[in-house]
Amino acid sequence: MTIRLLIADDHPVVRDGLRNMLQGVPDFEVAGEATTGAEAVSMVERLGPDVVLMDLRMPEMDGVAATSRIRARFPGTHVLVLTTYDTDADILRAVEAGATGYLLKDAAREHLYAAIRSAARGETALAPAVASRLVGRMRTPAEEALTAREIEVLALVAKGASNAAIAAELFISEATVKTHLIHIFVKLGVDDRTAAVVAALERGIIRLPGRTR
Amino acid sequence: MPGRAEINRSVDAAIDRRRVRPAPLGCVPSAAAGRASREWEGVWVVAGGDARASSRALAPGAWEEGAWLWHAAFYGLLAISTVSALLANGLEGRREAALVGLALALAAWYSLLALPFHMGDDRLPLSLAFLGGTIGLWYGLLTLHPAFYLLLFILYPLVFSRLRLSGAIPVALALNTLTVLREVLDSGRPLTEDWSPVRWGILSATLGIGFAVWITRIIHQSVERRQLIEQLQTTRQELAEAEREAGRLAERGRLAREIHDTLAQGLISIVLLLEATEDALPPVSATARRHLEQALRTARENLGEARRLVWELRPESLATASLGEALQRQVQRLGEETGIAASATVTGRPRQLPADTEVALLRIAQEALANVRKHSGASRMALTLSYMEDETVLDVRDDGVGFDPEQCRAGAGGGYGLRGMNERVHELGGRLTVETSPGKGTTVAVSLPEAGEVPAGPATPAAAPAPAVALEAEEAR
Repeated sequence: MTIRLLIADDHPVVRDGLRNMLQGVPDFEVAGEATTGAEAVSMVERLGPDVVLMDLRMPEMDGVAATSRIRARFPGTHVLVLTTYDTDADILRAVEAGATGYLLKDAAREHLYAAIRSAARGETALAPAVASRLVGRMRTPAEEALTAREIEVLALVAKGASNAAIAAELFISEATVKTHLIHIFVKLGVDDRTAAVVAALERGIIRLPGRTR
Repeated sequence: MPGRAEINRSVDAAIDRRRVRPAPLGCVPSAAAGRASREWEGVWVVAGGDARASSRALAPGAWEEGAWLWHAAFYGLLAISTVSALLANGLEGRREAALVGLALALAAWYSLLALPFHMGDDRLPLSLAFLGGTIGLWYGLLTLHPAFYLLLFILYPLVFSRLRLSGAIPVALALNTLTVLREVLDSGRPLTEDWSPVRWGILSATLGIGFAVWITRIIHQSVERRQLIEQLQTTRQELAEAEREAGRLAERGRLAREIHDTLAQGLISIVLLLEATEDALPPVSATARRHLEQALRTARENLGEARRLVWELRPESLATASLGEALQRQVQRLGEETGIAASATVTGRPRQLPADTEVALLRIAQEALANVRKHSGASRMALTLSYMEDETVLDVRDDGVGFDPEQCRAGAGGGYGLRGMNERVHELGGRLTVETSPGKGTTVAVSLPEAGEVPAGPATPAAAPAPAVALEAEEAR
């Protein structure tokens, strides 16, 4: 089955590059090329492609707005965001607007092909982990202070609640309760829940019910 | 009250006697300068609303800096007058003692009331008392000896520095009148015989006060202009600064656009074309393939540089989309459209995550919410986004019908898109957990690590077999 594609990008060199690359793939067919968001919407209406390769920054309606309109009016057409920057805040907005995923424009071709095929099935395509991130991840130093949620969890532990009961109380998964507990143990420097409760009581982080200090 | 002729004559006589007669004229400029500064302050309130203007004292610097000079002049002139009066012949002992006493009293009075206060202190009763006392004591001294006419040099400036123009003019006139009166009395000729002292007094007063008003105006204007010029210069500097800043930002923006439109897009095109060429290349030419790969690598590296440049040139106040807000909107929509009691909670310290992590979390949330909507039959659901130190966790829990994980593992329809979710999570080095059993609701939990813990080898993601979804039947523990 051939996947029909629409390329939406305002840069001719990029459109040319994409077309040249995609034309050589047997199961792809480049049905058209749009240079603006508005043009992309009208071409989707006319051509009914399976997947739109959408640039985010375009004149006359940007990629987010175009994605939103296409997904609202033509649910059969999926949108795959092709962006120059993975730091673009619009990526999240485009996904919220209904894009199935995003990819950097210079992604390796097998990634692009795979992403297009999964987008055609309506599945999410994700950019492979970018080797060097532009947004420096500032690793937060191990903070000793417990978060409000962790204190909540610990207070329930102190009441003798099981993980399942804590999960039910907070309406989250048991797995996440366990994850919270692991972080609590590390922060308090303890190995088990009993020691955690003792440490937290000693430091005044939690109080036993009914007892005032 | 003596007749005009008498006063005038006595003024004439006084002028003849001393050659130089201190008149308001000579003192006006400095006095008027003080006055003008004070009035300027009033103008300034209206213009600038400065709190400084609420105190109507002189602007610091105008009089303050020169204050010691005025004090020195006062004491100096008083000393000179006193000494010259004492050295002059014909003073009997009693008068001499009175003169010394009065001079000391005047010095004490001045020390008491002038030294501790600002030259331009605007407290009217204090100023009037001070001037009244000073003029009174001085008049006493003048009665004893004409040498004290010399003190007029300092008295007029004192009057004009202490009072507003409207108050200073009457006091200056009074001082003038006293001077004329003294001269008339000293001359011993009645005004009916010679009223030239009065004539001269009126003339000198009119000229002096006119001059004072004129100088006041001029100085007022000059101070005003100086302030305006200062304001203008400040404004111009600020304007230049703002223009420079705007220019700098515009230049950065232009540079970023230029890099984006030409370099970055061109490099992307090169990458795409090389990728296409690699596909079309016959497998035999190993050298060509190596060169091609090298070219591709270089192009990608340069594109990375271009990205870095654009990132560094971005405006500081770049709007960022918040994952928490996006999730909240999704949950809110679900609640509104289905009537399910839906809530969204964010715990921990929210922070900007890498785009792929945020997109994965948003997509998983979208699918989990779609499952809640379609299959769960739930009356309540909650989405919880938990920011932890080294990972971010998303929980979507409902109290609906649940399902049998064993059946799901068997793989009918990929288990409500769970398999797709799991692959995505695995690509990012994360963990997906589904806790459910029939009738007990469903909880989907996904945990994604921070960058740096992503498994290597993005070039061959398909090679890594996607593990089965980790399904855990909900059990009471």
